Amino acid sequence: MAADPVLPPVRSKVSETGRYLQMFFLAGAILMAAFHARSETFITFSIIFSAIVLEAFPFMLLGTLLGGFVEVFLSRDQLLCILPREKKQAVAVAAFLGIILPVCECAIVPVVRKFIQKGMPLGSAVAFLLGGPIVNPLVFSSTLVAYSFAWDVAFLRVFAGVVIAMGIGLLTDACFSRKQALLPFPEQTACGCGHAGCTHTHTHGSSGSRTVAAKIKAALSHGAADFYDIGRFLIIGAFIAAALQTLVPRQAFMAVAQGPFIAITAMMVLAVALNLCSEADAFIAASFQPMGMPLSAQMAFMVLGPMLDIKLILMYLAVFTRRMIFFLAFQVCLSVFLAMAFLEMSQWL
Amino acid sequence: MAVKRISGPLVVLAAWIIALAWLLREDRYQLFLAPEFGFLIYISLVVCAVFCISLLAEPPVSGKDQLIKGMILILPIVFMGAAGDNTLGSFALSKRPVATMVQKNSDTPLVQDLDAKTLSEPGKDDIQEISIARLVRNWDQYDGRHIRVEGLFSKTVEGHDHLAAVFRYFITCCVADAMPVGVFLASPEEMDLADNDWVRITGRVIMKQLDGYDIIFMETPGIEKTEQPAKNAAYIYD
Repeated sequence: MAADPVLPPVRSKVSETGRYLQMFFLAGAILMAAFHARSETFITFSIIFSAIVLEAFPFMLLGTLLGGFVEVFLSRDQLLCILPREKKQAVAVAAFLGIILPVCECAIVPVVRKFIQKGMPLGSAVAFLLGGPIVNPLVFSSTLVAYSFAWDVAFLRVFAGVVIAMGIGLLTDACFSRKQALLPFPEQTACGCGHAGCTHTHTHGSSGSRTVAAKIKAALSHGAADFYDIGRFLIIGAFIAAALQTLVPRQAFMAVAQGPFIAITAMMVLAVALNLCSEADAFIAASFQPMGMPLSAQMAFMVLGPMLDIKLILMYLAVFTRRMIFFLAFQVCLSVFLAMAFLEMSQWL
Repeated sequence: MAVKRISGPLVVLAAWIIALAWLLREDRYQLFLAPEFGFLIYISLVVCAVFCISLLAEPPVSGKDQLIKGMILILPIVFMGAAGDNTLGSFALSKRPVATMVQKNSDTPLVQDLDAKTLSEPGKDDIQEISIARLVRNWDQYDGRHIRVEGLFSKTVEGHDHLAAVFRYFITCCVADAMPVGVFLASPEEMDLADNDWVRITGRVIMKQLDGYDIIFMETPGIEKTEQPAKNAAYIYD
């Protein structure tokens, strides 16, 4: 069979705009550091920004490392063997994959990106992306501890997360083709590994022709390239989150949280703005208990946060088209709100 | 003369390795993360080092966006340097509601280092020197008592110019989740104190209502300026 023609890297108007936005961001950040270095606002911002990055950074590095190993050691056939052939069943299984691949939301984006490149069905990838950081056993444990071993709260979080992940996974399969939802990097860049300007000396897939050492080296090179490719989205997301945390008073959120439904909305906004790690967010949600925040609103915070926040939206830009990101953001917000409103109305909590 | 091009990812990873090592030196990372999360810095350091080694033999990556990507990735290092040895202070207090009670997340006893006699038989007028952490975790034991606590001073509280506060921050994982805890007091009329000064205050503590929330309030406090106990003393780790 003839080899696929080598295509030039895709360079659309959208990616040009993205590049200018990144340049604008960079210039703004440098100017801010240059002119406000001594103000307490800037120092507070610097501390919060650094803290968010330092907390998320190792998970993103581990995610890209894992992604590199997936790229080299796991073939498309092996990956597809894990999932049932039937699409709906595959989505259901993918929503629980986080139990055996316990990655938090910072690490999951590079892993999902690699899974998609390997041919994981779109709906399954979305179900894993949204459900993975919630079914993660570490997240389950932290929820349990934060709520003084209230098992019902921990299980309800997992249940809500999995149901929403499956629902949106199925909906994604029904509404989008891979071409509509995914950026064209995987199959169309020059060497097919998805790295712009890739110069790795490697062959792809899990071909047995290379030694284990060579494969490990290739996996690490892939991981490093992935880190360089998508790490900036984490940084930009953390930057925006830190700016919000520095400038917007939390009382502003609390002031509007009088009724349960407004409280759910306010906690959802807070979850998107704070960008907390899914392994830590239960402690923050629990800290709202003494302020009289309804449990449904705390649950909205814990379910939405691992699925959608500013840094995640920015990281999704490395995988999905903007249309798909809007769809995901809208569906996730709507589903979480409706689920928590139902819980509130049914007095289940 | 041909100059060998340096790989962007290699430079970024090397910069991060240096920054992470700097954070580990003298436990500087505790200005950003809770001490038990130091392992996160080690993980980052190891993965960066492994990536770095793997890239040594790779030819430099070419591409239009490489410089922008690299500069964005290095940005947090610049801001870490800008933060220096500072901690959150009164500015952050103005943006976050002060918590009155804080739940303990571990199995450690709530009161750890106060001897049993002091706790079981506190004289009514005895002044107990306690930490803000212990005060908010064991409020029932100190309600109406005379105590002495130490913390950062804030001349005013957002929206309440007549109130001052002595506070610290509870940290669960990182400074981004910092929650201020402390004691409110009437703003002293004459004082030689600035925001973020370290002070020790002595007086009787009671619970009051402020904007619908319970707050710990100290009546007629005596205030004395003190030295900052430690670089990260503003933070209380759970």
